[in-house]
Amino acid sequence: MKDEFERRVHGGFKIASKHLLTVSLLTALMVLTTANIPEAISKPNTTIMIDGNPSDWVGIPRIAVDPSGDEDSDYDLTECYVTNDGSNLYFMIKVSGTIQYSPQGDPFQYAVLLDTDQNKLTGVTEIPEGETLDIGFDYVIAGPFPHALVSAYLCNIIRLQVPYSEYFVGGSIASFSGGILEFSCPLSVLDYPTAIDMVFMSRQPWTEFAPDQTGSTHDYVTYNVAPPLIKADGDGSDWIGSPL
Amino acid sequence: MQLTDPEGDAPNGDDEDIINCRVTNNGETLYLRMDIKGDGTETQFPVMLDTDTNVATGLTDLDGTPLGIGADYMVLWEDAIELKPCILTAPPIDNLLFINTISGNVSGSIVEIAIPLAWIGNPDKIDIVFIASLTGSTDFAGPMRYQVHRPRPVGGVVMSTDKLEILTPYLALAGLVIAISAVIVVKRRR
Repeated sequence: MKDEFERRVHGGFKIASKHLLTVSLLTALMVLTTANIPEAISKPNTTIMIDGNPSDWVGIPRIAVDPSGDEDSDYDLTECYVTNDGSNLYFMIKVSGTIQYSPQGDPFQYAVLLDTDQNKLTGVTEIPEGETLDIGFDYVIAGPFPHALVSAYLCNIIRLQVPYSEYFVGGSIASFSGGILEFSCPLSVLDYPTAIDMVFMSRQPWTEFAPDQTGSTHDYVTYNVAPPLIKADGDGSDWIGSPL
Repeated sequence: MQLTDPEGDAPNGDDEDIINCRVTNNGETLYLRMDIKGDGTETQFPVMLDTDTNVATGLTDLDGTPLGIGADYMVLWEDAIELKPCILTAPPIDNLLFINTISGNVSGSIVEIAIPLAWIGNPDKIDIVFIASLTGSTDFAGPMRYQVHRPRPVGGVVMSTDKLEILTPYLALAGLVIAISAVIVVKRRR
């Protein structure tokens, strides 16, 4: 009787131990499989070649993610990236399909709205389609479109003010390949902001946004600009102490 | 590095009289500065860059005035645009290759420009000529040879700020310890 009891207990313990072993091994295997040992990454703020090749974005975290499949694939924003060096702000937009361009420029296919003073009161809050945003955007960069004079694709950089007025402040080379679009914007054109609230859009009239416009009060992302060594703004004071 | 240009040598007056030019970089961006005797706000200030320091390649004159270098890149100012964005281009001058818009501004007597070094081929040295307007009859400063400073890496490893990413190796270690413990327990029971 006692032996039978011990045998049963021992047997039950053995089975429990085997289960524990299996679960533990599976857990360890799963964790090891997904383990991402921190490794050296490229500088988070770096110069990007505007060539449609995303390789120089390695190590730069995406700033916005949007679910795949909520728009026609060519306009279906999936990931957006921003970085800067001492001269420019760089953008990369990914779509699940293929980047499209407008032969005439307008309507634009893709755009990023920039609230460079992070003040909703000083910029435009409503896009022409009636969508009200949580930022007051001061600039919009939109494109790409072919430009005959420069034999390249450009994005327009447009300044907006309240009461509503807009004027062209510059053109920036845009490059795209497959589902990747790259473009840049000189920091001096934006008056060297320290942080920018932004919303990415596609398909004018704009139907796709990153982040999605959910009706909350924070449907935008914020990029903190790495301060340049020198601001090319015509104020020479920051040259003091710079290596000559 | 800086270059001093004589005062009063500009044929078109003080607003085109370059008196001092400075260059610096941080390994990634090339910064250029020109100091003007007068007010530079209404003037364009092109800069010529010979990035292979080879006079045999690139633009060698402006309207017949020799530059003393073979300019492979040119910084120009688009005067048709209100905010005067600065553009980086490459010769030939009658069929310019537009490379991109870059940061630059003129305020009073100071002109500043910032150029990504990668966009001009990451040169080790550059011959530079500063010019007071896009014509052969103006003030020229240079050429000056600028050795590009390459900051040494400070070492270390850039770590993620994602807590899960930091904890993952420790979770894996804990999982292994549990697995080994389970193996030992099973063996002992046998």
